[in-house]
Amino acid sequence: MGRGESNSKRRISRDEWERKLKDVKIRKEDMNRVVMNFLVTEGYVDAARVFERESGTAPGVDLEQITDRTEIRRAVQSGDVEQAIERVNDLDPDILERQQRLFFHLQQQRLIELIRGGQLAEALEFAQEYLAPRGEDNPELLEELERTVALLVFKDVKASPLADLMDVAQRQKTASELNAAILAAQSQEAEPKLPNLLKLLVWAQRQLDEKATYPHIQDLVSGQLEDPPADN
Amino acid sequence: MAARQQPQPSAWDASIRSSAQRYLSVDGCRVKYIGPGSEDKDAAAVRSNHPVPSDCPIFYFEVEIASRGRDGFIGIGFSTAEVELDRLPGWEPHSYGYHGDDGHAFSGRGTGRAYGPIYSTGDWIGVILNRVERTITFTKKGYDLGIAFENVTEERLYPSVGFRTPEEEIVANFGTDLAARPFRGDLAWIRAEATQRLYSSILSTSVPRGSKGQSVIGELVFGYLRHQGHWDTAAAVARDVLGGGVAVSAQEVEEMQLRRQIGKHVAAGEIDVALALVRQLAPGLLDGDPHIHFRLQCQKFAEMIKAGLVAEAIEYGRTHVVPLGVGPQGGSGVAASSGSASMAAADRELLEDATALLAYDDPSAGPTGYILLPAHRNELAATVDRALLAHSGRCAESALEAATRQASATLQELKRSGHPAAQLLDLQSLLQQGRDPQQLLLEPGGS
Repeated sequence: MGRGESNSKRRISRDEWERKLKDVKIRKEDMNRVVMNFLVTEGYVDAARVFERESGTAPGVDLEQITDRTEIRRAVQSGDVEQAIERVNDLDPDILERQQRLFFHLQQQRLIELIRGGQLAEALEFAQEYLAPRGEDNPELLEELERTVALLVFKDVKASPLADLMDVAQRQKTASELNAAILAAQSQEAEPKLPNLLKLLVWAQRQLDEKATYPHIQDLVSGQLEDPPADN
Repeated sequence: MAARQQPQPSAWDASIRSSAQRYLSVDGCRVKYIGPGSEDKDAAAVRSNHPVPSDCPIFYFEVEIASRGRDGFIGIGFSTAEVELDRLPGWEPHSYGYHGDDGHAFSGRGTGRAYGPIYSTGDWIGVILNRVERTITFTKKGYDLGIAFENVTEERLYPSVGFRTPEEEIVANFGTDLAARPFRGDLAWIRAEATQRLYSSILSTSVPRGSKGQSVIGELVFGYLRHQGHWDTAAAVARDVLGGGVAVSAQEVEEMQLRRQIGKHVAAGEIDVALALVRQLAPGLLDGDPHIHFRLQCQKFAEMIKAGLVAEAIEYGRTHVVPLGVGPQGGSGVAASSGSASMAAADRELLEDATALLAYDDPSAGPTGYILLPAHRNELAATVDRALLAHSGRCAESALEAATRQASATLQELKRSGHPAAQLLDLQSLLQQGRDPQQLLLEPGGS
């Protein structure tokens, strides 16, 4: 029964929406804290240190203690996955031992770096020797494995449907997963809050779509307000 | 801002005239069955005086079994107003019930399914309607019996209790006077758990990647730092987070530094210096934006009065401020009387207030002294800054701030429209730092 269900969505004009936006108070200290939290949690010590000096925002933790994480992250981000794995194992061998999925993602990243470097023969060998057995053990990973190995067949990977794997963002993703695992192993807060903010935004916009049409932010990077589609 | 307060269930509705009601003795929150109670057609139910408010994310009430009567054939739950009251809750469509004689859960049918333990005299049953997850859950003596009903989508549900055999009697607590009659169950905990599950589901939302495959978070942080003029941090983030490839031009840095200086001078009341710098940084801005120009000159006029330069101020006002305020069609004399057509009401008022400063020995202490206070100057500085940014074609706000603003406004709007889940959420607690994230999420939002 559709009793009480609303049948027409409310339409909020751009002017009206902008007035609502204007009423929102955003405190610089809050934004600064969220940014600092991101830098510290993700292990960007240098940036955190500079940010403390420039903005006067307290890091909330001892920055000296996160140097290990910083260097491990740097290794992944510069494409040196092997070094990262070595350093994690120096720090706490349990981390990769216990988390097969994470270890798989690191190996996957290693494969991506080999392909990026044009070392196709090595990449193939590596995939067969290290990645395939793990994928077979775990059907969840199998799909990811297949997708990654498919990189080998594209001449111009950047133009392929798998281009996202070659992005800087993919390195970031792997580095963040590893970083979070280290933090969790050290019983520290593993997730920065900034992504939560974006998730809340995406979720809230989706929920409000059911009740109203209003200007959205679709492209998070630009933060541009977009008009809702015309009435349908 | 908040949605209009809807009435809450506060007692059983004794006003309904139906054949079943003569079998019940209803007194506020207390109900006793006084009918023959020999067969199913002798059943009688009550419902509350108001439905659960539609925006209420978690509704909770308790029922104490004062007496199981002859057979303890009591059903506790919810029903809509359409459900006949000569039936136990759960027997009819759009009603839900947990029955004491067999512990079964009924929804829309005469036969239930095994759900919880039986209940009897002295027991108390907690009833939770979770609008976020669309479930109904019961507790017995505080012990959670798990979800009884899913896909509970009815918008107007009334707490309801039904009876079937003589001497059955219950007392409900709808939580309308918690000081006098506190709940026995831990509603705060129930809410906290529900809130936590909601946050978990929100945090499993995936965020789209940037169109060019960049790290969205990295870009947002970089953009924010750049916008705030934290150049060194921006450079470190560009290097470490974004893997190089982005840089801030020297020209942008210089612009920003000038903008900052302008802001400082305006805030210090040094309008002359600020005006000169604005002309240097953004030639054409003042001519193109008479409102900004007027406000700066008006401030200069006020600052001169404050400095005791009364004669100079009057002269400046006559030659600079009033003509600008009066607008292009010109004219002389006091703007308030002749320039109304070309001046925004707010500007005219400001001019009047500034002029009024002349009347006081100590202008800052006069009724229009606000013009000389830091808050007013800072606001002017912010207005000028926005105008400068717009003039240079840069956004007035970074994408990170825009996203935060949008998230906050969207959440506000959801709350206002009565979205139940939104009532549990609070952007501020999501952003606060230095606390355990689990605890943070346990904080119920304002509702």
